[in-house]
Amino acid sequence: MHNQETTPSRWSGLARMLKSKLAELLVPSLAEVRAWKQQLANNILRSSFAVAILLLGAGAYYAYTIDAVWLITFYVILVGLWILIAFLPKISYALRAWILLFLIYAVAILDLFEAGRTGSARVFLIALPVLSLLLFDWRIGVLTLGGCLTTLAGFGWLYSTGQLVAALEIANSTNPAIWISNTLVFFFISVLLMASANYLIHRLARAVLHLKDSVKTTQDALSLQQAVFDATADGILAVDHTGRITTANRKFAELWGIPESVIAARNDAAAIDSVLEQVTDPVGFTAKIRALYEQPHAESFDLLHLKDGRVLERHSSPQWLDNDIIGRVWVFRDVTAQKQIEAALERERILLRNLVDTMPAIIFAKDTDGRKILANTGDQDAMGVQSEAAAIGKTDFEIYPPEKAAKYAEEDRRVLEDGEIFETESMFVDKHTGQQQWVSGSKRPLRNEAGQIIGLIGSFYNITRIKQGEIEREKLIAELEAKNAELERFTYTVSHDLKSPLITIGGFAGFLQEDLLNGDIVQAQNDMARINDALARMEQLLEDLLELSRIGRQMNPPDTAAFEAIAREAVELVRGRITAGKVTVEIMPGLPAVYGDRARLVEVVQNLVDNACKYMGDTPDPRIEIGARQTETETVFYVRDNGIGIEPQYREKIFELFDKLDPTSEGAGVGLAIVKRIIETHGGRIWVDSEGNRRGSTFLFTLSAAQ
Amino acid sequence: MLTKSNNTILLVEDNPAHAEIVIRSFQDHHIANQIIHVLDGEAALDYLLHRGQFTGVENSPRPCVILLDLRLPKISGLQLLHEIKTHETLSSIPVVILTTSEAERDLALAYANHVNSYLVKPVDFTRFSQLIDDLGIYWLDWNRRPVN
Repeated sequence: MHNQETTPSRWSGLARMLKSKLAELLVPSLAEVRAWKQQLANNILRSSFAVAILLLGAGAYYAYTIDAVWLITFYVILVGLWILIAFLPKISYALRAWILLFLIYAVAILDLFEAGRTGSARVFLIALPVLSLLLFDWRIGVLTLGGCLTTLAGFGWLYSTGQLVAALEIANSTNPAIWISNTLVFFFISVLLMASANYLIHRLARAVLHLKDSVKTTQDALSLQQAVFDATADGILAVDHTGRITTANRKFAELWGIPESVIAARNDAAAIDSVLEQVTDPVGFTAKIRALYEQPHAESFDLLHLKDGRVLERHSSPQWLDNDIIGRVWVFRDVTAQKQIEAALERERILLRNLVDTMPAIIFAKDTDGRKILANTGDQDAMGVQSEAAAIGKTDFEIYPPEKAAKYAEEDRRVLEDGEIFETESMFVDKHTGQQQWVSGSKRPLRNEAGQIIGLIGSFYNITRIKQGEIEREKLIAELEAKNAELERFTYTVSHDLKSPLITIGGFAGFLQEDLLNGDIVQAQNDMARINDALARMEQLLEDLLELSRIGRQMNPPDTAAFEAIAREAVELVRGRITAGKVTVEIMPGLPAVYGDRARLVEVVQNLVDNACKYMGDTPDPRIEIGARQTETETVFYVRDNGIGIEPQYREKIFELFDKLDPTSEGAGVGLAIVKRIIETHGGRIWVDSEGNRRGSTFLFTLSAAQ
Repeated sequence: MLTKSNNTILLVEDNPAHAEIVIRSFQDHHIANQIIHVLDGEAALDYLLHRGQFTGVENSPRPCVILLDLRLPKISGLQLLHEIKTHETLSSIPVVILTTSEAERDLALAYANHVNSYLVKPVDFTRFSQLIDDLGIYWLDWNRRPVN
């Protein structure tokens, strides 16, 4: 890729392959060789037929001139055998070839006898090995050559020692038989050469045909390869061991935006510049390529980030030819879309995971075996584990106490087997804080795309605050309703009781007018008195109402005071009435201290003592006792008298505004309403205990324990 | 005007001033020959059932109409109304509520307890007087009731 000095062809690989293929084609198989030899032998045998006839005539004539009948017989046998070979192709090739060789040998021997050292037998004996090489192989050829040389040497020795004298040397050397014999020998050799030429031409033609076939096959394969090469979705680049481009497909050019001309021209520099311009990390990219060239055997994989945002997957592996590495193949695949989808999925996964973790809820998922496959931070806290990993794959039995786990498992079973949605709202006591906690939630089947249940999803919320809010709200509503009812009663009472004196005034004003018209002064004075009474009553009512409304709105700062001191102060305030009624008041010593509005608490005791005095009746030994007793939870204060008592049915009514059991008694019926109001603003309650019927009454009250 | 054999009216009213206005109005119109005034529900029941201070039938003749205030000490007017209207023999006595209250709740409860009429005391004297006059004429004159 880098070195332009070396000039291996782009097709060098292909050329080497072709050469090897050709070599394979040009070496004929053994069967082919045999077939060709047989064909050649047949050609030789048939061509030699004509020679055989001439030999017969020539031989016979020569035998006639020398009167050698045995020689004529020999020639006849010889020619017969020759014809046999030529016309009986059923005889095996080897036998025919051997007979042919033997016949030629025989002719040569005969010639040696006839012509001596000057005869053409030498040529025969030299041609014989060549023929045997053609008919058989080199081994038989060498053997034949050996045999012929030995024969020539033998005859040479026989002639030189004079033990043998050639027949023709004795006879006239211009004998036409010799001429004919020599002519025949040359003719025979020419036949042999023709046959050899025939064989070589035939063989060459076959080789060319084979070559044409194999070239066509290779071209087909190459064109198919190129088509596939160009059609593949991957960009492929092949470089040789020096780093120069061997080939690259269209997709490679397309991926990197390299003009095909650059590829076709195998312009490595332009191609590499183009690539380096596009990758976000050209330095790292170059370093990796260098490292790979230093390790020709290495296969590598990498992700390339391009400046235009694309992501390419890069594979690289060596290119082998037989056992040699001849280059390296680079495969590039555009995985931008895939990476984008992966990134989007990952982003979504993170988002969902964060959602699940930040939800103020316990969220988990289990498989069909009840094993955790997801546990958000809320669930981790609930299980008391430090991480999700500590819970994954575990069942509830490995986390919670057995009873709890069994309960959960039964819930799971209903969801997993019956596919129902399990919903629950339950309360439990937190082991650590001892506080009540409410939990609301559900378990739902988790289904796959086919709708089969593959697990369950649980989500639970701590609704303690909501529950507490609900309880608080209900309490407030109840309080508000009570207040509303009280207000309604108050409004009703006020409207009724304030209207009452108006009616009195209106009525008596009317009578007064009549009286004046009638001149009845006495009656007029009476009516006026009624009007004044009503006015006074009205004033009293208004004052009482104002007093009542002030309680709770205007409070003195709360303080701690001994209840005994409060009681004594109150008793002093009603001293007049106590003295007048000759009532004995006893205050229990050592009464506990109370916390509240001291002046108002004095008012409470004052009202109760005052009431006790008012409704003492004609009790012989009137007594009032102020004290307290401690119950399990609170201190109950009381004011007890031995007066007329209150019938059980009026125990509630007496605390209502303007309600008096005795309409003739003094006061507007506000006292006990005020007392009740003060006690309630102190967070306490008041009630009365009396059996009525002159058995006295006991007013009991509490003040808020916390104070 | 008319003097029927038994024109007794039972007035249940805790406010003495209001009671006086009612009684004087009746007298002015010469309607009632006898108005029995009691201060509370218990006394009213004592009268109707001839017990306590009202022992004996001659001492407490059955009234032809009861005028009842709602706001009473001890037993309230509505409670008394309920007692009368559920009582075997007293239920047939017409009961007219005469009260200061115009509260819807009181009206509803009174009618629910089979009150025969519900009247609100007017502040204006002339109207009060007129109301008593009409009431007397209606219940003692126009209104018919079984002899026994």
